[in-house]
Amino acid sequence: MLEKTVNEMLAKTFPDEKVTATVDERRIVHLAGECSTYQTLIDVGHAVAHVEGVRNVVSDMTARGVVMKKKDYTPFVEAGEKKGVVEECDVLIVGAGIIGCGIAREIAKYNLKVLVAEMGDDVSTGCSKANNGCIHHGMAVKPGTLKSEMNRIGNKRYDDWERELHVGMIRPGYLEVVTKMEDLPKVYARFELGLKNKVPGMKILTPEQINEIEPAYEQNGIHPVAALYLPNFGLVETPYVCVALAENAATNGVRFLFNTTVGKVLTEDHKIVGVVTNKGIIKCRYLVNAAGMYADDIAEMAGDRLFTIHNRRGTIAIFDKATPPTFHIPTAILSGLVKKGKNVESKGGGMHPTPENNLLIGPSAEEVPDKEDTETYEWGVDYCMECCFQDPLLHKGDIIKIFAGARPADFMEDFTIEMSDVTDGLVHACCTQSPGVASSPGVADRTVGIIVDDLLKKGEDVHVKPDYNPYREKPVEFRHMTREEQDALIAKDPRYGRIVCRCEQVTEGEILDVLHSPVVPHSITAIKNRTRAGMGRCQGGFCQPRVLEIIARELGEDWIKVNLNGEGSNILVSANREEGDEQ
Amino acid sequence: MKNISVDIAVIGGGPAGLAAALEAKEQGAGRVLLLERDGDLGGILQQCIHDGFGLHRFGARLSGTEYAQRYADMVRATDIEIKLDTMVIELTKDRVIYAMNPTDGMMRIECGAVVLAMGCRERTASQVFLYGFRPAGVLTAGSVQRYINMEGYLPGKTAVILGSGDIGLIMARRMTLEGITVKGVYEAAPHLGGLMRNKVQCLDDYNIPLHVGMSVVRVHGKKRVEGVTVAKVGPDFRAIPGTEEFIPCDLLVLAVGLIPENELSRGAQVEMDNKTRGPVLDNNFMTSVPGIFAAGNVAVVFDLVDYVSASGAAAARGAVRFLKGELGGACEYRPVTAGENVNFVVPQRVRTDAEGPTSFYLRVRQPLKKVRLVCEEEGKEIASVRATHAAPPEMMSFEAKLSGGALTVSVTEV
Amino acid sequence: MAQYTCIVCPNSCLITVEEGENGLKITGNQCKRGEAFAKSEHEHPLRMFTSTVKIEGARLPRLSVVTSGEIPKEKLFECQKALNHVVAHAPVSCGDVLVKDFCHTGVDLLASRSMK
Repeated sequence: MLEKTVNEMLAKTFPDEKVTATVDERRIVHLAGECSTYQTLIDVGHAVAHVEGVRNVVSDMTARGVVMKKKDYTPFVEAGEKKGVVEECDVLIVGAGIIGCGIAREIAKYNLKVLVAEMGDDVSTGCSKANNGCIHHGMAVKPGTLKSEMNRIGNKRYDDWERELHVGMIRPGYLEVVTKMEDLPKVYARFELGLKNKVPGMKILTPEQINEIEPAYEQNGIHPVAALYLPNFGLVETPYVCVALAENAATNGVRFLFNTTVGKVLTEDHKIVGVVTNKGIIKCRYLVNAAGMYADDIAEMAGDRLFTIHNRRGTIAIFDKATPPTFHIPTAILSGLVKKGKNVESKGGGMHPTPENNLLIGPSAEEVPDKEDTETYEWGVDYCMECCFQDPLLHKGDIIKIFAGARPADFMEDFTIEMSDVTDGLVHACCTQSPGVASSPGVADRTVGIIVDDLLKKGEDVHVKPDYNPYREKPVEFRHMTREEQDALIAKDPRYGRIVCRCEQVTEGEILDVLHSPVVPHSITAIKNRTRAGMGRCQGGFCQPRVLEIIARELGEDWIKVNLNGEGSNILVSANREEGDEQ
Repeated sequence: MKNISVDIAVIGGGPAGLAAALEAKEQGAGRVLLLERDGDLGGILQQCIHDGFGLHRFGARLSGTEYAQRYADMVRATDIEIKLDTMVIELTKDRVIYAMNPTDGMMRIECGAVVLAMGCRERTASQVFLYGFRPAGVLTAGSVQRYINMEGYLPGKTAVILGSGDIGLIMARRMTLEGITVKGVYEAAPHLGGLMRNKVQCLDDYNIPLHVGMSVVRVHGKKRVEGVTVAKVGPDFRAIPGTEEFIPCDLLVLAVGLIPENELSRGAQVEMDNKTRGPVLDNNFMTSVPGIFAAGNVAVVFDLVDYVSASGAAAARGAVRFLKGELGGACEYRPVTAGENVNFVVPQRVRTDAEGPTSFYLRVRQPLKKVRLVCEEEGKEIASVRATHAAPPEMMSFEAKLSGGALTVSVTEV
Repeated sequence: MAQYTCIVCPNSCLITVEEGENGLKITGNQCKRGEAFAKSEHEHPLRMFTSTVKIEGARLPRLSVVTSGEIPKEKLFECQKALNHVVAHAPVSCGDVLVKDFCHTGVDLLASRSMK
């Protein structure tokens, strides 16, 4: 019946596309065939997902003239099977993005042996690496979705993460502003949507009240007539949150296995027993699928093909600190706002400060067929510039960094957090595209709850470890100290007296601290994500050789082995002519 | 916190700072303090091992390192205080410097006068809107120079260079000698960015092709550079469709311009010039903040180190005059206008009480042949220079005896 | 007839050299050094040679070097290769002779900076 409905809808809505749908007993729609364009493929997937009764959508569709890459796990499996069993644990988390790190941190409190397998060389190397770090207020999500619930819980729980872990969050709040009286209904509509999503603390502000908390509108000739104020909106640097979570997890016994790709999931009687990775076989009882962009591959490996992930790329630009954000409070101006080519499934960003007060614009929202496609294009940056309501103070010339990240979206455009109903011990924590960062504490709590409940149901003794330490000490941040404090710090430890990164004022002492932290960084980018060295206007032009030298020295590595970000990204390829070298 | 009081503090121990400190001492300044963030003096010259420096200043063709060494040795022969490994992190408009190093900790330095000589930094990939992936193997020419010449490592085997300024040309030769294959130098502008003699001895000598009117438009490779797309570009520097070509390489060297490093200046509320991206200077090389002077590449990106040193000395003379009270009190300024064919002139303004000879530096807008440079003060010619040619990459310099009026500088073909 | 761009100074004069009965006829240069350059470039091109060598016991691993005079252009790569066998030991003063009669060019290889 459902299969018929879906196929009829496809025939009617996409008469020219050669796509067929089959539906299994779990109400999962399987799409196959060739679409005329990649965007049509995405549209087909979304349209099917909207059919009532569809649980999720799995796609084997192709698009004409488009290479649909599928990752080949064979070499990883071959390498791992040769090595045999190398680790055993209770819970193996696949993926050390913000979802995986959050789960690792929350599950670390229990008397369980937990490992994290991450294909990258550090935490936060995939989708978590490049996004705008929004702790969304949760007003704008579709009410009744899992996203809505996770956003609400996650947003609130960031206070705990900040207090216990110093994840570097700020809560500037958010303003949705109208400048014309006739747009007032827009504010009320947004307020009502917020009520449906149970957003706390919302207020509709008068022009006087707006001016009091954000004088920059009037200063820039914008005259709000009303605004919806969402005080719970926050901002983080996502990679830094991952570091804080991972460090605390590691302190409590979780081990992170980097450069470790899961290529095969081992089951017995539809029950998880382990995985094969390129580093060897890891036996486990629970497998947490927090694999982000590759979560569909992991699900398929585990015999639970439940969804298909597509990459919605987002281009972001960061401005020089000399061009600070015009508005202290992140802002959307609802009057006359028309975004060209706006993606209906992801809002895409506007302009807002980062926690360190760089202006960030974006991200764009572009559907791309390759999961690892984080290429930048001029139009991506132009889209971001257009999001800035033509702020005359903004010049492309003040941009210091352009990059792009990926959103791991499924066709339902909602999160999947559940124990698999076909493979026991497989727990999905995925499809966490925007607002994934905001939701991550909620996703972590829910995922850990699923595992703990299951253990309790099976009559196992699972309890909080007596020596569990929920706190992570706040690291030294030289740049935020007073001159007196800085002086005292250098007197205590002269290594803080040498500035390595001039733009962000990062000292050698801070870099040494992170090199001896619970989750050791090995690459230039890993150091950058922890300390901000290289994040400033010269983008590492000054500090990269110095950071490279410190990494090599402290970790006892050869200079040519030091990577920019992950295996195969070495900065130097050979030593210069050695004595006696005949070239 | 250590409190220190000096007559003149010089921020930066490169060629401008070395010349400024030395001149300040020679002009009789008392306590002169030179603050350098590196472990040695010389600034960027430490990695400029090639020759061609000092023809004006020393009448000899020195390597950058030799040029720096001569100045460093002269400075060390005086009682100028040198603080190495010392980072200045703040300068206030009241001429208080906060600087730090491992042994002194944080220092609060009260200065009679300050000479800014922080130099410049290189434009990065994002700043020239280089799109694509962001792999390892995209480096600025200065970084490559440092890795090869100072650290002894090679960042690639096959390189493409974007930018034909002198730095790009010098690095083409340097990399070739070290065994790196240089596929070509690409220049978005329709003409060579650097000096013709550098094209001859750095590219032609080694059969390295130069492609003008072409640019690198995409970077390929997720982990390390696997190649670049180059294309012909129009006057708007955008790729002309259909002219794209893929060049395999594992290193992209960016020699795409320098930006004066004025973060400290901005912190001291020094007025900036959008053209030079350096402070607005007067005939004493003083900025808009009394007692704060600027010289070298922090003021404007020079082409010859000899001019950098000369500007350092000029700023130091101004600083000493300021200490003597000769520049105190209210004063008025008259503008120095960039006239026909002139892009900018430094200093940008003169004091109405200005007198005596002052050096000016300028760049023209486009290449010109057989030119005459004329400087007029209130309509009266006070200086003129003839040259066989003028081109934007080559700075022009002239000296004029001032009497405090508004100046206009023009360069015309004759 | 041959043309050379002079590399002596930034003027980069385009100099013409013609072989006549009374020897070389050199035009286009603006100074004596240009004439000398053109003559040399025509008969036997010479270049300054700068590079680095390994140094031990110093703050940095490489020491910049320069030849005390110009060397034949065709010997640049040979000289570069010969550097692989040169190791300096700190302290070194700028101008110190590291190799006498470097690669039989008649000029010496000098340190081009001091290093402790």
